Amino acid sequence: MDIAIFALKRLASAIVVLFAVSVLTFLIFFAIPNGDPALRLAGRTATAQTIATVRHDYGFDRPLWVQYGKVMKQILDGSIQSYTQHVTVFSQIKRGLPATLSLAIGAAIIWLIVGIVLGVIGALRAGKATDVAISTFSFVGISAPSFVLGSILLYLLTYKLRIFPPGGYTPITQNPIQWAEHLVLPWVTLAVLYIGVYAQVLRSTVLDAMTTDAVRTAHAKGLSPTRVMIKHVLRVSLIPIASLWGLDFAAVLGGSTLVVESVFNLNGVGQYAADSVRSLDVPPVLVITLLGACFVVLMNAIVDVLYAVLDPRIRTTTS
Amino acid sequence: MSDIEVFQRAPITDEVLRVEHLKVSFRTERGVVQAVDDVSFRVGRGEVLAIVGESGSGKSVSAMTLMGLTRSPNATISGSARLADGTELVTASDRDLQRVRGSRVAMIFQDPMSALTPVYRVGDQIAEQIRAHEKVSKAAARARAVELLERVGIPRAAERSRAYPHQFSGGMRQRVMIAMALSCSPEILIADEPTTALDVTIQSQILAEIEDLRQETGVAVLLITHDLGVVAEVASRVVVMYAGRVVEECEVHEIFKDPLHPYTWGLLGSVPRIDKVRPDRLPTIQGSPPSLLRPPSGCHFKTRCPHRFAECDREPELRALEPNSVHRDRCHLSLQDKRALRIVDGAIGLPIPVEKELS
Amino acid sequence: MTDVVLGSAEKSADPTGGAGPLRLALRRLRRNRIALAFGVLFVLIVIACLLAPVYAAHIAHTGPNTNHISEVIKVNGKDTNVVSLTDLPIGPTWHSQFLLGADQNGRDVAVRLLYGGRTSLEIGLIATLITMIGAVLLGMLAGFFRGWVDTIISRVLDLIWAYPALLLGVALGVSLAVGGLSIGPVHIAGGSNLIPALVIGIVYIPYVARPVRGEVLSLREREFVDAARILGYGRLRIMFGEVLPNLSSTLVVFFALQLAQSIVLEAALSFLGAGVQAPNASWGTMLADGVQDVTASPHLTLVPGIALVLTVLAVNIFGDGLRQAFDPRARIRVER
Repeated sequence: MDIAIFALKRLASAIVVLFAVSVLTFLIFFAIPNGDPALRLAGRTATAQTIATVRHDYGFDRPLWVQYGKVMKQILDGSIQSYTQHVTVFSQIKRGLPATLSLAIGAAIIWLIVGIVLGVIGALRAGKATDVAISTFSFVGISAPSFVLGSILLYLLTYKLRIFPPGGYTPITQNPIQWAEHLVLPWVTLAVLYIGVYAQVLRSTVLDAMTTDAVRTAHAKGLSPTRVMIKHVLRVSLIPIASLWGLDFAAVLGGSTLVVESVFNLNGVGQYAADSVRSLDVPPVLVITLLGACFVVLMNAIVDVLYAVLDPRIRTTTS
Repeated sequence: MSDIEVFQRAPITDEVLRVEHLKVSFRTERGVVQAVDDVSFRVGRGEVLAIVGESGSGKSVSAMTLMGLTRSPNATISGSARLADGTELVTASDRDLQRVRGSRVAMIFQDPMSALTPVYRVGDQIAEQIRAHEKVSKAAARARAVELLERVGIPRAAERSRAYPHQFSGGMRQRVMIAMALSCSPEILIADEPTTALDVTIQSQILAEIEDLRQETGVAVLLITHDLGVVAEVASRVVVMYAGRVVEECEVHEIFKDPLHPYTWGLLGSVPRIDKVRPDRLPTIQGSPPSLLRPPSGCHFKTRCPHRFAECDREPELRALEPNSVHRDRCHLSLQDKRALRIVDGAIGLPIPVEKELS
Repeated sequence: MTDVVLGSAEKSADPTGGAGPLRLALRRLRRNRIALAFGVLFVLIVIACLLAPVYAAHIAHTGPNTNHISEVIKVNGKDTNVVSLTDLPIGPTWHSQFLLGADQNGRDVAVRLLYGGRTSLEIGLIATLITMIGAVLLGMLAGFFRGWVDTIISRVLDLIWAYPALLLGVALGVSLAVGGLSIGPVHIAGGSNLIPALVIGIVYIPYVARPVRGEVLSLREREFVDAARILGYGRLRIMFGEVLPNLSSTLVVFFALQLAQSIVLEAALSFLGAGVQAPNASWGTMLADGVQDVTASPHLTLVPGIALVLTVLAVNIFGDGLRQAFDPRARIRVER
């Protein structure tokens, strides 16, 4: 009951933020930049005819709030379209979604598991060679931008050693094995950064947790070291990881796929956004930015509720 | 001196813990810290032994070493600590020690606010300890946890056992800790500054609770504290520690009536008294405790002692000054000198340090 | 537990030797050889990039945007086309020109690498400065005045925070790339490198402003702030004279870590076409060009890629060294 009320409150505030996000996104694309917004929206290869259409669709001669209303209406009824490709933005997004979700979910599972394992090993072996090796790996992972790592992996493993098929995406419904084969490199590429981050975060939270009074009490109770580690150290250390995971997943789905999908030619939503950026095709970028931010906001709300479930201290102080 | 000689004058016959020549040192970046330096004491059945000292005197390290909580790759521990049946705690394997912890030797800590794991219900945390040592069902362990909570004076225990630690006040949490410590009927309860983090009014309640349970269950209590008020309230015997060593050991009334070590005088003098006219300034022990990395040779207290003389460069022994006395101290001064020197302005204490003497 | 014990034992020994926090931090940093080595590496990279014009004029004898597409050079005594008839540029050579090969337009990769590095580092540095100044101002205002000032600032930061950093960067980059930006009398052209610098700087403000705000909130409760207030100091003087100096270690650490983040984001934005605009070169744009031909000419990806990773790695490791030196108890938490 506590949780339900908390969840409702959190959802209500998320809706307010969503509204603010839509306004800010609108301002970013229509009010902040210089020059004629119709020109920008029409894309690099616009004709006078297209520009006139755009001007009519969005009402750029009207006040800002009317323009905002028009943009939102086009987005909400799904009619917003790319003037470069003459297709609706949502049809393209729908087409790319399976690939993007496959990429993001798979990578998120990999980085969560590997990150936790490496982080715990790093903490248990703190200061030893294993720990140093994990830290080194983490630093390289954090410092290697995914498009650099992806390109190098693609070059080495696909073109030189021919272990993995060249880029592209096979739907899981069509052939699960090919689906996985095509996704292994993108998954790893995307996961490496977060594995590094999670390993470092967990290593330090576990090390902190191991020296807390509560863990000293757990030892003094006569519990086995394994039980102390799992029930008293890990259970507490994983709480921040759970929230981090939700937020990072949202951020990856909304952002990092742009780069990785382009490198591996996965033809997902991210690549659609990246291609649109290259041709300065604004409507898809606008919609995807809005969707990405909305997803982060909703995920934030979900994570807060999850946090309350995992940590009784939050539950009672917020309700 | 042999072990037998050390203890022959003691009246205790039925002891639950005997600590002999306990030494604990830690290797640090800056050198070896000798935190506990040859400490010996015993705890009799059902008695309350107080270990008194400043922070850094080694009293907490001694207590935690008994529980094996100071074991780490950079710690060196030697000496002996035996339970009544001869179980040796210093050299025990981790597994054996694990069996002793919580069941035969239990411990409560200074800060009850952080001593419990925040994400579990308090009843479950007590039950967890019971189930670690006894083969009982979860339900039975929980039922016992409720009983224990009731016994330490927690109202509506059945309901409260399902609450989380943050829903308890500091005093109530310390009661939970006591309930947990007593859950497996231990022989010794080590209480490490159990009241320091609590309000004054709550302090005496907790002390009364410990005292009640001691009388009820016959558990021996090893009380670690820096507070002589606490000592006067519950202890039967006192061990005073300074810079890793025992400097005085006696029955509780003697520490107030006839303290023998200058450091003890300092401790007593630093306590404000309501039965005497307050001096302009409370006397303090001048200077700060010595570095345990490089302690002074001879008597460790000599750098702060106003009564030091040439002899103090030689290490004093812990000895009784009167035959057949259990009152022992570690100081070269004669009994007569001690009794004459310790009275300052009609009360026991060290002279108020003169500013220029502070280095 | 041993830690606590050692802490109290060492207290008496006065492990600081009476040194101030800055000297203490520098002493700790000096002992961290790995961090120092990477710090030196970063300085060397910066010097190399600053010397780009010298390299171009005196060693390579060519500019970053000069085409040699139809030229022929001698490699190992053989005449070789800079760009072969099948459009393949030459790879690394032991030749003072084209030391790291040429790109598809016959431009010297080594020269472009140095110039591109200059751009990347410049943008990274300017962006980080914008982030730090913005974050300190907002964080201090919010943390010190609290009330409605704090509410408004925090909500705005939350709003920016809601966007994935890369996506917000792309959105701003795309919308500003065409017409540029006018703030009052100042006009920044769409193709200017200041646009990506500004975009990156703004995107990361919440990531620094939030922790700064938190620290200001706790600092303002400290005794020295009370003391300053009792002495009748004005709010501005308290904020800049008393609170700001106490933030310095946090800011130093964040500066280094943000520099790394900014360099990465610049590369990603440029890679996607929403950052540095042609004809300017940065490591990101070089990678964007290179990745398209990674099979045939891997050096076009590897050269800027390795330079980028090494630079970011150097800054990250040095930054982590700073963090350990200034903040051994890990008080400063880097939220991402």
